[in-house]
Amino acid sequence: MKRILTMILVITMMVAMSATAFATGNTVVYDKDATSQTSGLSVTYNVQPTFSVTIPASVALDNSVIVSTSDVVVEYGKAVKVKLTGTSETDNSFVVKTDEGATLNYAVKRGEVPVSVGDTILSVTPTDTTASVELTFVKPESYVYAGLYKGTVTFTIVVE
Amino acid sequence: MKKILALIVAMTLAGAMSITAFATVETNGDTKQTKVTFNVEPTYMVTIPASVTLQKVEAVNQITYENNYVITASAGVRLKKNEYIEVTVTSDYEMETQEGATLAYTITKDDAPLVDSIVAIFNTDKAEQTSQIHIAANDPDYAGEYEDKVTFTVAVKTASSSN
Repeated sequence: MKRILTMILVITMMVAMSATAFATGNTVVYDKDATSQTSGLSVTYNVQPTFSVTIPASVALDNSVIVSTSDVVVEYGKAVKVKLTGTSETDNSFVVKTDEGATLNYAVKRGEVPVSVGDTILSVTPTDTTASVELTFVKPESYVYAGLYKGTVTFTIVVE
Repeated sequence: MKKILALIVAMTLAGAMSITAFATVETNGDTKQTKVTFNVEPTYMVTIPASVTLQKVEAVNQITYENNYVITASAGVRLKKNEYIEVTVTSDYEMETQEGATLAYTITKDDAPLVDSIVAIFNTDKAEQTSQIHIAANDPDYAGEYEDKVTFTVAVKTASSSN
């Protein structure tokens, strides 16, 4: 009886100590004639996706920002993607406005390549060494009115 | 001994179960916004001549002293939308000699009296802008060097309606 209890205890402790490794409930019955006994054990470990994405809260035209990711853990074959998905304008144009109603067009570039709304600006898998992108917000060559021009761009983070 | 073993088993199980409790974070499709700003400072330069000397103008049976006076806004006036520069004049419209003789004069713009003492209005423009006013006085009774000081005020105003 003590041996049975000890065995149950040992199995129970093994199951418990393995943290996320759970037994499926197999029962091993003591067989006095058996030289050895086996029992199957299903081992699972669920790793939740985790990552951090840093998107600057503001930028002045004629300056650059760094959009970056870190500690990316996602499913095999997937990546953390940051997309530029919209602006403050209803037609999603790159426009800043003053409170007085003056408007200016600007551009967003990754290196020398213009970025459009809908573009994926950053795609990072857990094995990628590069996890950031520099975006330059280009001011127009000329402008008519003075004032504080304001607008927003929207970034969307997806795992796909 | 059994109690101790049971206690160890219970504690171990409790510890193992807390590890399996993971928080689920919904991040897919999360959006963040970056504010884009651009500050353009107002710039303008208005030139107001320091002095003007009236010239004698002789007509039939009439002598007057007159001259034109030009206020200039240099090229590249940049203001906020719906703003403009207004130049106004303050004067008692009377010149005086050191001896005390006086001579009244007028300031007109486009051959009309000034409205609200406004002598010039300049808008945002890449080109140079000018405004000409006309100063005139009648032929005085007394000889002498007549003088007066006129004060010009330059102010940025906001139009009541949008352009």
